[in-house]
Amino acid sequence: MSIALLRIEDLAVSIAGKPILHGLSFDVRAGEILALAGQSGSGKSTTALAIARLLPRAAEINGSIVLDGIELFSQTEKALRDICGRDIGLVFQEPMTALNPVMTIGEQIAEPLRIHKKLGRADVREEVIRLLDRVGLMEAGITPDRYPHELSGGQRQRVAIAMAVSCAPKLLIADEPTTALDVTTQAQLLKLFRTLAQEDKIGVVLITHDLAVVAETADRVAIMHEGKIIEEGLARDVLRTPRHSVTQDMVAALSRLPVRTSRPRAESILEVSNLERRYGGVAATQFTALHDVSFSLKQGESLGIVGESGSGKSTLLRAILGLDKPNGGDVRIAGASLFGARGKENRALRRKIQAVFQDPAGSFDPRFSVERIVTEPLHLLGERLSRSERRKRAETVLERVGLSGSVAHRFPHEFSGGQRQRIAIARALIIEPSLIALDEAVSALDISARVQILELLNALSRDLGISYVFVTHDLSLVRSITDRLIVLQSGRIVETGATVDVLAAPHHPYTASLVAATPDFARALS
Amino acid sequence: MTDLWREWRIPLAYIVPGAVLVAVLVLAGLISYIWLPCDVTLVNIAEKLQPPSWAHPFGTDQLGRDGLSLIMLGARTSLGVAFAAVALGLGVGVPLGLLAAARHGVIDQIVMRFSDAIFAFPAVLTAILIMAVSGPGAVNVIVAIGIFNIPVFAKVTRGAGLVQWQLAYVAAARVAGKGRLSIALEHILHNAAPTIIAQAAVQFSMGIIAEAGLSYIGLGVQPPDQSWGRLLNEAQTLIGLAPHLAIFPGLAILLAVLGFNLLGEGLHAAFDSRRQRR
Repeated sequence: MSIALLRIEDLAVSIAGKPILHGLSFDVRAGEILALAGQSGSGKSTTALAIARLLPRAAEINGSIVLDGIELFSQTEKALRDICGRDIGLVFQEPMTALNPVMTIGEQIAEPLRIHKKLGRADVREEVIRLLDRVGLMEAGITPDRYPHELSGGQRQRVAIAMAVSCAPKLLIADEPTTALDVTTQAQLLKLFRTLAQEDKIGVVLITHDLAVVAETADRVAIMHEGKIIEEGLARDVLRTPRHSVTQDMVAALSRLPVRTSRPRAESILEVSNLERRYGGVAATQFTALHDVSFSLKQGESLGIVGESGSGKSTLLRAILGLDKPNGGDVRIAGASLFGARGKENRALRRKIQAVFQDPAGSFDPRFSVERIVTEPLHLLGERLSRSERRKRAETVLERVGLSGSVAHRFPHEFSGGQRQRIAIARALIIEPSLIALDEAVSALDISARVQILELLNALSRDLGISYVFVTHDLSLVRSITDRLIVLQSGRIVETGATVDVLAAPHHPYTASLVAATPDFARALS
Repeated sequence: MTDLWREWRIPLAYIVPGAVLVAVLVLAGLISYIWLPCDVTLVNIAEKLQPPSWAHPFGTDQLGRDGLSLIMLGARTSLGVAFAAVALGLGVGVPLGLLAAARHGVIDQIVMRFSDAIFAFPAVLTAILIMAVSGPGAVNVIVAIGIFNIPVFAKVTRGAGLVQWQLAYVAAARVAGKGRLSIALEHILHNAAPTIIAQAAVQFSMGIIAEAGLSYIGLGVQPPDQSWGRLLNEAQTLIGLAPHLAIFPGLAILLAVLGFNLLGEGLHAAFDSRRQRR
């Protein structure tokens, strides 16, 4: 076995006096992918930033980082800049913000070549084309004179990778490089990382919260928890037989995703017929977001809507919620048209359908207390409730979603992602709707929080007979929460059927590619 | 404790001196209603144009009236006019801005083009026009300045409001059955408030300058009312003889403008650092 390319010993970081990392040690060898995995807040990203020397000024770093025989801590500022620029490549989560929108991708890839390799004009041009070819953009017809906004998210991330490997780095650090991307794009990019490691003998540090990605991509894995590495070893060994209890919980959460059982009743709750949504005025420039979308849902039944970004999932959801008026077609809730109703009738309709959005900070008015947030839909009752009655209902519904009633007077920013999603569910539940539409409702959560929220949703559906419309790009979730599935591609339904059947034997090639690209923990380890 | 200090250190460095300056001047104006160092209705030619002394810290004018008392009386008008003009701008501009942000399309266009139209008029010229038509006087000054505050607040409110309308909590409120109007009042207004308040402080200081300018050219408040601009106007011909007549009103204007600008800057920084924390 070769000696380590990167050796980290006793790395400790504290920021503004608060310890973040408590003495980590690990090695990365040339040509291997080491995954740093763990839940949010475990210190994964801080570790990456410490290696690349990108921590804020207030950070205090101790320990030793040796890259290819050179101790980084004993270098001068200038020598460090050279080493970090030339020998360490970085790829971040958000490909749009990593690129400069007013420079062509060729100019951006050329920049490090000119600074660190001091190449001439003709050589730079040649090298840029070689790099675009290396990351698979030339075959997609992407030339150096294109601008970032002309590219898809996955293509932008490939440009970012081309920049990162432009100076033939020894080490590539990728911080959640595929989290913001579709599954099919993710699968292609992970393959690219494997190729770069194997063929160019680059040591790759892959930071991810997704153990299925680890299982499919990494050679070795280090599991982080509260600023420490709790377990390290060959990825297969660690994931098959985790020793530390935290790792065991994470692995168990993956294989213990709840399985959906439901008893749909006869009456229909949601009927969508021939829905049509176009953007843009003139026919030639019109963009069709939804075309002839029809489906129906029975009370107590749950529907998954899946597809890549841009497939029309969100537009469809906004139409169902009455937030966006379609150009044609109809949405009927319990038999009544959503777009015809006015006043009292409209309120009665809207009581039947509520929504839970993807967590981010924007989901709640930052100046509202939890009580005001969860009681907002009570507005739909059409009668004024007394203060104490509102508080009582808020406390009841908060307890229903597994929070203490006493959190009612606190503010949303005081809660973790999983707790905030419980608050959002409480807000949706308070007027006892028949249908809840969930837009990527668990995608931003850690795996254990995700499992808890899915279990909560299933319990509520079982006890109260609530239907869900569950919009997601992540196929691994739909089995746990939906009975039926519709697959959207470019605004059209390409496949529909029982969730279990669609996942086991997809008919349409698009569905098949989605299923194949979804990281599968069990499949990767077998 | 240290977190709180870090968060408030920079805003407080602006807010404290700003608030002190503003408080001193506002107090001077308020005290003038119940007490003045000297009676300014009495003419005392024997003591005219005296330089600052213990008896008259700001000197006396050409009629022998106490400079400090005149400045205190002037504070009433100068600050009062600016306050009323800002209130007029807020009262009309903020609802218009909220409306424009809530209703896209025609209403938004009308409000914004109306604002552009007002901006297209040169402010001073229009104020002179208003004065020429309806005559000088405090109320007319307030209207002349306040009209130009309306589009400023309308645009600021609309801009801050549009950002809020994009956020998911607005979609949640609509799903909760709230209409556009109640969303604008319950959610948008208080989330746009920081920006509006910071703008109000800036408009306040601009109002003080505008009032001083109009009074200086004789179109502001009329005798026997005082204002800092009028004091400057009267000092004009005597500036070689008694420079203190121009210095003290000028200083009052300068400090008031500085105070409100510091306050505005500080409030802005405070809201910004709170936003970052989230």
